[in-house]
Amino acid sequence: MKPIRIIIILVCLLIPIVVRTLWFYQGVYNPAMISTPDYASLNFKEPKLSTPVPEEPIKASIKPIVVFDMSHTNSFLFSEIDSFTRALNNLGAQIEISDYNLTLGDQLKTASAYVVILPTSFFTTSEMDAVIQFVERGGRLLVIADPTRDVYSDYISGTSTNAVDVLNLLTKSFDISFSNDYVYNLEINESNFRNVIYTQFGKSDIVKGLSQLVLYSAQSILTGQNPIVIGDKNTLSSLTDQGGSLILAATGAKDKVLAIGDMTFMTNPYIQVADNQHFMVNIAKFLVTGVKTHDLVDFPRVFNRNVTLLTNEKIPMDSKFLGLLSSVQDGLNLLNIKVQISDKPIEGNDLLVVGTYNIIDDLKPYTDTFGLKFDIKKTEEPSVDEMALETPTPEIPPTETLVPEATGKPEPTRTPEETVVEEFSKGSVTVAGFGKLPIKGVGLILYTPGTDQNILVLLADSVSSLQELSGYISSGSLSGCTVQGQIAVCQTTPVEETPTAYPSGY
Amino acid sequence: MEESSKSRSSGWKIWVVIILLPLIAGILLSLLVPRPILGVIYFGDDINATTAKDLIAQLSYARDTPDVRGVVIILDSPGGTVTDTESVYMELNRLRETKPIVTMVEGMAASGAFYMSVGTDYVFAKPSSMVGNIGVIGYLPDPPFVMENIYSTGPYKMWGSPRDTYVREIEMLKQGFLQAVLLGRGNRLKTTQDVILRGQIWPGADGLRLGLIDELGAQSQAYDKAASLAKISHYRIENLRNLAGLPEPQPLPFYGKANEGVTAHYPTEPGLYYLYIPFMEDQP
Repeated sequence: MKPIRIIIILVCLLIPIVVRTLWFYQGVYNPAMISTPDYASLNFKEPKLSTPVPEEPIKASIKPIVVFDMSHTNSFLFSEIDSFTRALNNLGAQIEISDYNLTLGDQLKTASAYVVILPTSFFTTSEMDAVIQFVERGGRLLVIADPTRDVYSDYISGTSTNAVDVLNLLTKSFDISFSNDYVYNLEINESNFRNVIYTQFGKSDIVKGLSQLVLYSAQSILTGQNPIVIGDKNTLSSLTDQGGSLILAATGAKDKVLAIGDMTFMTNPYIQVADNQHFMVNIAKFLVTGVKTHDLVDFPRVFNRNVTLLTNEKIPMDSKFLGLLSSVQDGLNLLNIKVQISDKPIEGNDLLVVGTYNIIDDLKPYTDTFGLKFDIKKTEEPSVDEMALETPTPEIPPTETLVPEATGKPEPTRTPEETVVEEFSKGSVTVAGFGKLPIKGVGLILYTPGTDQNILVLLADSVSSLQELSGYISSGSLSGCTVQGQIAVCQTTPVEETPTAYPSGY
Repeated sequence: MEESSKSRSSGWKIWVVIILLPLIAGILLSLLVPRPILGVIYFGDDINATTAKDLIAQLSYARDTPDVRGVVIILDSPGGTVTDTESVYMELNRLRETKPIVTMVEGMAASGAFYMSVGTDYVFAKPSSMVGNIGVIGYLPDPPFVMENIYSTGPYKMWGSPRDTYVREIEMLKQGFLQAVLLGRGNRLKTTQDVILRGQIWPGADGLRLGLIDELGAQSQAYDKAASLAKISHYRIENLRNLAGLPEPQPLPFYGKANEGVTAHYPTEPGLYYLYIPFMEDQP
């Protein structure tokens, strides 16, 4: 066969194949360069760990009481803040949890600080008033929000409450409010955009010594007060996706209120990150170092320091008076207040003055401000009380300082000490607001709060009546007394009657 | 006359032999040249162990079958588990070495599904399709505790790892996701990392502006694009599920392990997810 014919045959044979091939296939797939992530190079980012903060117990003269609110459906477990409560304990604080059986006002009477974390049921008006008054008198208030757990839903009623709403009602008086947001930072964070690292701090002891703080999901705070933890320009609010100096912690009410937008930072393991532990200890110090001014309504928690129980040489140190001292000491010890008995005020201590009306002149430095006017008629006869109950106490010899000089009047039925204690069964005292009161069977409790010293005066017609007044300290309230301002007028058992060791209201 | 007539007849026969028969033979032989197939994968589920296994079977079939010259994935998924998403992503990249893959986003390609899409050559979407949601969700396990009747040999034997580790792992996976997007989209990406790492989900039109997809279009355009990349025409479109002999998918609740018959709309087990799951009231 001629070659040309072979070629023609081959061409004819291939043409359909080529045509069909070209009909379907116009070329060869040219794959793009395929790159995949270098998964092996990815690793965990570990946070900078906190340097343990050395424990420095604060030498507070009185164990400060820190009350934690657990009465408002708070969205946290007490065990979660174990590190924080331990820090408070290390600083000498006594921790109490709010009690449903007491009003908030009553609980705060004894407290130095009040901590409210994530409440999701509203405070009543009286509770809010109590908190405001508490802060006004120098009590420290810590309020904490947290966007990760601020909503409480009641499945039965189908309603839900936001902790921010509850907190904002409480803190509005202090010009502080929480935004219903969370803050985030996509640029610099601790492993997640919502775990924001803060390096800008305001002026406050609470942030003293901090260089880096990590808050694990925080709500921003709106305040015209003192911001102490501030976000950078890349820290943004979820509400607006805008940032710029967002505030995450602030103090208000002359640094007596601290608001923080995150609780997680003080829980484990986050407490160990950066300077979080340091911040937490500073907060604990803030809570225990507040000096609260008291009113008589706080009785008997009217002292900020240890107490000097001031004796007077004109009151004999007999068994009855020793009983009085013991009663006062026991009552104050129950409040963790140490009592020193002295005939002179001791610097740095608060003062408790006990006295009978007969030595009112000696007590003038402590009673003058109350404008009391006494009209006292001295009786020469020993009272029934003295006659019936007071017996010589030979086992306790009178000391030179305690035994005042004899008056020179013959008192054949009394010991020399007893002669000094004159009973005033007649006479009256005019108390502003109360008018004229008989001194017989009436005890007065006078309170003078001060920056450096609080003074409490117990006045009565006899040592027995003073003992009754001291019973109010043990009983924990002035129930049975009429209180007006810083004066309480209490009924005591008249000396003719059988005295009782306890006040009528006990 | 007769001779010339014979020679004409013999010449005609020769041409029949050397032209017509070879042509017929050629035509018959050309039928052996297969019509190219454009494999289509319809994926309208979340990415979990079952659906990922199905997907991988279809991708493997496409890779192993020469007639399948390209693949189009019709995607409508909120993403799913991390590992299953990565499995599919790696299979896609392997297939791309030999055959082009085009994604057509129908309803959404969110999170893990978007992760899948960046492992393909070209992405179409509808103007209202939802794309993006780049990031990770972690459902943390309970804090470790011990029980009276169950003993284990270490504090994390039962819990896997500390809760905090999950948080850090989330960040690590996010970086992997980001790398996948950056490498997959390359210079087609018209936005910054900051923007895409916000986890936002965008409509297709915005996705196009940001460079998360390549084009707005219809499924037919996706087929054409796949054919164009594969350099084929007059192709046949086949459902790879049918070709691979896989049964019709059974809708299984991914999120809910159906405790007591209740299907949850969120993952009920601790774990990490490339998942778009808008918050619902019944989530923990």
